[in-house]
Amino acid sequence: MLELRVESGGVVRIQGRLDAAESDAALATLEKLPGPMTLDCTQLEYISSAGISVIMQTWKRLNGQGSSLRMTGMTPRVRNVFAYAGLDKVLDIQ
Amino acid sequence: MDSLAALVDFVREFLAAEKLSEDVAFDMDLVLEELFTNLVRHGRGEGSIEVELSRAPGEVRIRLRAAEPSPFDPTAAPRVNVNIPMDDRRAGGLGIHFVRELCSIFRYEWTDGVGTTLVVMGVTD
Repeated sequence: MLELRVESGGVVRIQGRLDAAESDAALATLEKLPGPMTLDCTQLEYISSAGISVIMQTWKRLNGQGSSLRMTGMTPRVRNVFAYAGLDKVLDIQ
Repeated sequence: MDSLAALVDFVREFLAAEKLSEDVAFDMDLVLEELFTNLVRHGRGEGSIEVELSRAPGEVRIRLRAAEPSPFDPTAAPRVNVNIPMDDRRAGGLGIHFVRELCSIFRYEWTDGVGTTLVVMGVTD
């Protein structure tokens, strides 16, 4: 299960598992939101390549609009997946 | 992809029985999801995909079996370059990259219309 809560100031709280079963719905939600965006990943329990693809597509869309995406609060396990993909060096992860 | 939830539950039962950690659970979920979705995405395993988990000292073994009319070897997938800027990146390929990152053995064989993928992950006993 995955829940995305849109809050003020461009903050989106993401909770649960961002896997292949949830990636289409997550992308559909994020596509409607303007930047700059801060994804609060404190309660993101799991992410796979399908979820990474959602993040990359969101980054590309916002970057193309001259805006930005940053991510905060990742657990070490989730952060490892970004590191395996080499994305910890090129994305704004705090 | 509805079967993913069943797969996660299956891994949880195995982890509880084998007393393995949440770190191992995360990595097993990731490897299984990537192998499973790779099969489904390429139209394989239409009947069913059989998943077998087993434990040996210092390692966990995952075996996936699916009926395949012709060989479909995930170990032959091109390697992705993860050391490039975002603008140069394309979608795809990361799933098998994660499997390669996390598994010490990644093998495929096809016999009599059945494809079998075997991966081995190191774990702390």
